[in-house]
Amino acid sequence: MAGWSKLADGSVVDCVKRVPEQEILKSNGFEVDPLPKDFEPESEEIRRWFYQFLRVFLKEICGRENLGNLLPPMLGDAQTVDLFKLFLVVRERGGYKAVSKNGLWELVAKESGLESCRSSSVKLVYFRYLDVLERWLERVADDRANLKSKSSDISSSLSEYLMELGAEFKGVLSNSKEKVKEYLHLEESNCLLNTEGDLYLSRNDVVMAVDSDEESMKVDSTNSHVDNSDVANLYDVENKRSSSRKRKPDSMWKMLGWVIGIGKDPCDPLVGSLPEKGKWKSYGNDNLWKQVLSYREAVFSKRHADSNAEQLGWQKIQKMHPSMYDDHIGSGYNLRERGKLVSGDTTTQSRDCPRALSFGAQNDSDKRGVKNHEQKELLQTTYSVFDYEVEKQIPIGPAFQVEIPEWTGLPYENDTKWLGTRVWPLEKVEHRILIERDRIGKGRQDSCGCQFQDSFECVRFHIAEKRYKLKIELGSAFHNWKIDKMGEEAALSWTEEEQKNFETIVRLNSPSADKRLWNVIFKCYPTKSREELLSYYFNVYHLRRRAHQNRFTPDDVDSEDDEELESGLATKGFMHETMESTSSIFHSPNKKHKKSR
Amino acid sequence: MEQVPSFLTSPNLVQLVSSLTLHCPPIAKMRSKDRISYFYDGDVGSVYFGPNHPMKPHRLCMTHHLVLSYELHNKMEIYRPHKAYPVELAQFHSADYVEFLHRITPDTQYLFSHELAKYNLGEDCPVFENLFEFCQIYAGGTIDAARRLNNQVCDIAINWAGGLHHAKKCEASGFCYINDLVLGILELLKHHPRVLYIDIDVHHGDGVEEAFYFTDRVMTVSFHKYGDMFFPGTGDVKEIGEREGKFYAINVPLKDGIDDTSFNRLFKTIISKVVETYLPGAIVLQCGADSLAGDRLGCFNLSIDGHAECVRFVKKFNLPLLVTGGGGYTKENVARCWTVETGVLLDTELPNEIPDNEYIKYFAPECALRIPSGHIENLNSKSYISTIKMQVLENLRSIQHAPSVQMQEVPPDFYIPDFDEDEQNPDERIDQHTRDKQIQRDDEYYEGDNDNDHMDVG
Repeated sequence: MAGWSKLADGSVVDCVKRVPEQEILKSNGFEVDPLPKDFEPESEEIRRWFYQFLRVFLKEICGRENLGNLLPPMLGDAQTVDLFKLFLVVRERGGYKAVSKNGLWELVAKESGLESCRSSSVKLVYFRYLDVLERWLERVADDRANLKSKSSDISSSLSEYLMELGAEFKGVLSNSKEKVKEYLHLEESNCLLNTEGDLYLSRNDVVMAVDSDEESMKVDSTNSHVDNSDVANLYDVENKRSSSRKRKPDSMWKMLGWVIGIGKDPCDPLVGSLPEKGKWKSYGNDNLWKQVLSYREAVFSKRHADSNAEQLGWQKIQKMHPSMYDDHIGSGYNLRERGKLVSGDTTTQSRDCPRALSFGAQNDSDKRGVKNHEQKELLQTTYSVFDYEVEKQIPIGPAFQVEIPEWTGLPYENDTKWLGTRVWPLEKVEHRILIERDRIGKGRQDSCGCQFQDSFECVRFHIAEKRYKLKIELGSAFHNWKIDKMGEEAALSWTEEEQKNFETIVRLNSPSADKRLWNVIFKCYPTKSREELLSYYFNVYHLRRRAHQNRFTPDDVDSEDDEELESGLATKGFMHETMESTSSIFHSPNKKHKKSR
Repeated sequence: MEQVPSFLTSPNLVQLVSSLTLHCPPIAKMRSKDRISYFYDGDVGSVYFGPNHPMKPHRLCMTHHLVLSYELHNKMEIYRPHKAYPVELAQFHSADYVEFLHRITPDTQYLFSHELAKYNLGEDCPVFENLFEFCQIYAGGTIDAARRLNNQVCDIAINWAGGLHHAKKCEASGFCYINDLVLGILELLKHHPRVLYIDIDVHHGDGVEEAFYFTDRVMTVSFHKYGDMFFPGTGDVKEIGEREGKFYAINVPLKDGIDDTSFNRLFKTIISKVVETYLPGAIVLQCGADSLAGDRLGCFNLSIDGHAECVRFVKKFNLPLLVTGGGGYTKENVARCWTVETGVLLDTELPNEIPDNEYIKYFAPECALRIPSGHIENLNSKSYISTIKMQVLENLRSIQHAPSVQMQEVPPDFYIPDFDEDEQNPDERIDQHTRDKQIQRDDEYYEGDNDNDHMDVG
């Protein structure tokens, strides 16, 4: 806005008829004229810029969106008011207050190329559209006054000044990066969110307002950056923060001038040809083109990071919507969803954000629901303008890919180490007993000859019989594979009472209540090893539960084992709402499987 | 000498013999019997991810038990894998990550919240008792399996405990801590210039794809559900690899409810084209059983037969084959599926009635081996599938065109060499590579080439 006030000041100077440039420099402290030498207040590009700025200003800072769209305003007789001219004239006369006080509105109307009888309308128009701007500029100018003494020194050396601008520009870039981070981590902070959000809107809006020709896009993004820093500065002013960033918009102004120049005539020899991206580094930051291009890059990568993060937040909400998944197993699911960017730098940054986001979301998903809705809209408009890759990308870099030695054409020498230890067939025959073996791969016989087929005893008998055969056949492999610990045999070392207790404990500590169950179990059976307990759990407890289900609720067997679902079923088909489950597990859209048959 | 029987000299016989040879390209040189190595360690039975966690290593016990009850053990060799050493795991994974896995226990984890977050341990990938040992077992199994194949002491190696395809170089992901597949493939790469990885888990095989994203020495092909924020979110058909690896990552994104018929047709079309084009020296097949109907996390309609058909098809190529497990969260179905597939690999048809065994109650009341396909609505329209297929085949064609890849002359229609083609041309091919690398920096080079390619093709 220093640039802007320069325009104001400068125009004053201009009206006083062309003070030499050095004078302008001095009077403004540090002004370098980025505009064409034949600068005139009437010049079209300045006017265009003014309108654009005004539109953004009214909309973003004053929140008067409708006004911004109505530029330029028309008077009753369909005469348009040249706001730019009007503004300059009033400034020349000392501003709104001075003009009103001195009753100069007629004169102003006349000077603005309107009939003097229209003075009241002109006043109204000025008040509506320009007064805020004027007051805002004044505030800024006040602030700038503090800087004056210092800046007059700087003005002596133009190149020095340019260097400084470059450095400042860097500051702006890193600053905006910081902001992204801040934004991601402190998303609850409305102030920041709004600032950022508004900025997006403004950028989009402006882009849409103008045609999508690339050059003009550049202009617009630059514009919105002016806006961006203005907003930032506005906050600064209001918060009476340090004035370290005061001159930043100036560099923007220069950049803007350059971009406008290009936009006007892309073939302008002054622009010259830009070096390739790879060579940018060798150019100093004082090159305007470089500032513009780096800025554009920064803005785009920032937007990328942001949109990724937003996308994630939004996805999460969508995911947790009850109507979409009847499982609701975990809100933490989104911990799995990473925004992974291609470039190395941003990767680390963005990898952290989704986590931060999702933790936030767990706490107050409701609140976020509303906010995310907004973000979603925002996102959609964003996509309509910028065509982003929104899919998850494969991360690239030494931290992700494996190094593969070049194929030499010769296989490595055979490595006979670590080929595994053969367990089966047995190294040496351990039994001389002849085993009557069934045909390999043979299924179950239809009839077993038991008195009551498929009775509890019958099944048990056949299992035991089979087990015995297997044990003899496998010999040492039987123990190696821990088959001795498989099946209900695991219960042999348990007393009746212990078994009963176990069941009670499991039932009382529904595993939905997390890991408590096992703590309790470990405590209750201090003499049993963890392995034993687990073995009992899988081989006896679950097997029995399943057998129970098979007999009593054969149509409602939920193979999906453990715990939660089964314990629910055991108490007569009561389905747990797993909403509250805190553990994060694979998410799947089709939940609640019955055993498929 | 004895007189040659007249029928042996008859012109008819000569004709017969010559026609036989004509119609039996090398593919017909069937091995009389495949030698199968199967890996199992009884210790996996006591691994427990914690209450409510869908990943249950106990399914491995059930699988093994079912395999035994069908007496399949008499047709193969069963090995207990060595427990992979940290240094072996660090062939792919970063040393600090391996070290951390080694060190962390459930009791000490609260001291390392920063590291837990860094390595993505916690919710999906909890820290549990014996975590590292579990990793050592399943990774050791896959590594041993690969080594046995390399040593040509077996033709097919099976490790149902392996196949944890989501694990990344520096972090855990999706119940996977150590990526045994990558380690196994690295092992195979010591003996084969090109290895093909096929993944029929319902989730995208992102860890493997990511690890080999830049190389043409491994081609990854993954069939998976994609979209609706389904984990892990990658696996679009547009992900094709980069640099030297461009076109060497193939993704077949599918929607909910795909059935046996369309899945198998698609699988066979793509895989046969891939094998024909890429001529791999060995194949790694990840058989995640969560693509079955009725899986707790999956959303496909595949029956066990449909799933096993993929295994049968891959086996027919008669290449060294490493088969691993993977996902699978309805554990009886996992046991059923992998038992059937063990049978397929052993050329043994299994009767549908499950024999009596300790775990029979898990398979009750029907005690049937095969589960039917599911009834979720199939959202994969014919046109969708054909679009995907066209795109994949189009990308495959780019391999034949890319000058930097220089395969030996394109073999005639569906000709699967059984001789060791690996030894013949790869040197040249790699040399070409090295040269290319020296000449130009990758990106520009490839971009340019591919543009040309597309112009050629289109």
